[in-house]
Amino acid sequence: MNQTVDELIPEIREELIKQLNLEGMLPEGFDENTPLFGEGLGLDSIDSLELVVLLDRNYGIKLKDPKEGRHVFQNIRTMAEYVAKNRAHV
Amino acid sequence: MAEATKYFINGVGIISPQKTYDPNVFLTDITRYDQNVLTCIAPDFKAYINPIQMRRLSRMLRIGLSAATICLRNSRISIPDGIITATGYGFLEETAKFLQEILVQGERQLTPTYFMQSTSNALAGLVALTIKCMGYNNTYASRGFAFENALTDAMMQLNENASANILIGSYDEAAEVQYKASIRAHHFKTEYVNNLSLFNTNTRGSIQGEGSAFFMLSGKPSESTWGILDDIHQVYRPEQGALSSELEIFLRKNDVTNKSIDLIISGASGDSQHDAVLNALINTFFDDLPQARFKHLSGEYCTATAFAVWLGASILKRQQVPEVVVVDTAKIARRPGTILIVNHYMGKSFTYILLKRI
Repeated sequence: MNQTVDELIPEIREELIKQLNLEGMLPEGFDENTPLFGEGLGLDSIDSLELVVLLDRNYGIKLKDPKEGRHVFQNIRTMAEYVAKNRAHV
Repeated sequence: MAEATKYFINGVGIISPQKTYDPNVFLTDITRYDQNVLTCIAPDFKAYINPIQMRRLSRMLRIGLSAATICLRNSRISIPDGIITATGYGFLEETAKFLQEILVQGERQLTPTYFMQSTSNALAGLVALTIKCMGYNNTYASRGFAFENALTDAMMQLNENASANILIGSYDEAAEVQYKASIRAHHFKTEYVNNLSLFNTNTRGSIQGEGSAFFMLSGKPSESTWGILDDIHQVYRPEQGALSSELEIFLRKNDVTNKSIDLIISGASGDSQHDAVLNALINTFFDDLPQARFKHLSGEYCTATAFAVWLGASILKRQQVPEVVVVDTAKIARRPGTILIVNHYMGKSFTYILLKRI
């Protein structure tokens, strides 16, 4: 299935909220460009592991290079772009 | 460093199947359960845990961290010198989820959270990380003696440094997976009873409980001291007569006679078979002494001794024995100054704990 970035954004957002138990905790104004770590959503290192598992489990993408993760997990849009480009097609 | 000769309980925090989370309230509003499983009455966690941290924590970790925070606030100590926790079975629900995930995912793509929260020392680590305590950190996962072993460790820490403050806590949860197995092993009753009538039953098994209790232990008293933990003794799977002889040695060692004890806190669990041994011991040694029981309020679990220590410390601090725990109100006469806890867990692990008023 070839989903576009815009189609992936709401899907990843929903999965992220579910996987990281963020229901009701998203800050006001949160969108696909809000940083996931640091001053944005404030996720931590355990969350980054959960995101690695999420990419593998949902899209068949194995993220092995930590430097790559730093770019991919900037925000939901960068995640969606990465998924659109690298997802495993079964 | 001075060696501790006494062990002062300088703070408490407990979350149990009764409304015990407020240290200023003492068993005034008793909760009744009708289906043999007593689960914690939790406070509003937001008062103790920040929401971003809380989202990943399991129910029992929230309860444990809140109990620890209540104790820290009660003792007015922000960072203790050491943290010791105790659990009989650890985080059973999270362990079950972790194992389930291994099965469902075919041993691949496992999320870290369930694993982290299934380890027995997760609570001690979480408390240390939350308050940034870099001191001694240890967890005892030793079934019916877990809390007792943790207490012994804390006392040994204070023997080396009397001015240290050791945060010691316990937790065990009522998990469905364990409950079913325990029913088959006759650890819990097969017929439904209400907890407040537990001691009127005459059948095998107890009722399941859970809870988390924390205490701040130090070799020095403070403004918030609840009582003194004088001594502890454990007897595992005693042979005939051993319980009596060990009790005699314990009392003699602490220079206590039955005339100087004001209250016995019995760990009777409502199990007709296991309680028979405990009741015989108490009746032989302390027949004329006032007695209190607590497992109809807490249920039975590996670290229920911690509930007994909280009950004893609360009685010493308030000089009041709540009617709901009293066996024979006619015997409650004198002001409690010395309390002996005599507990058993499943008729195998027996504990004597001596508490005194400051």
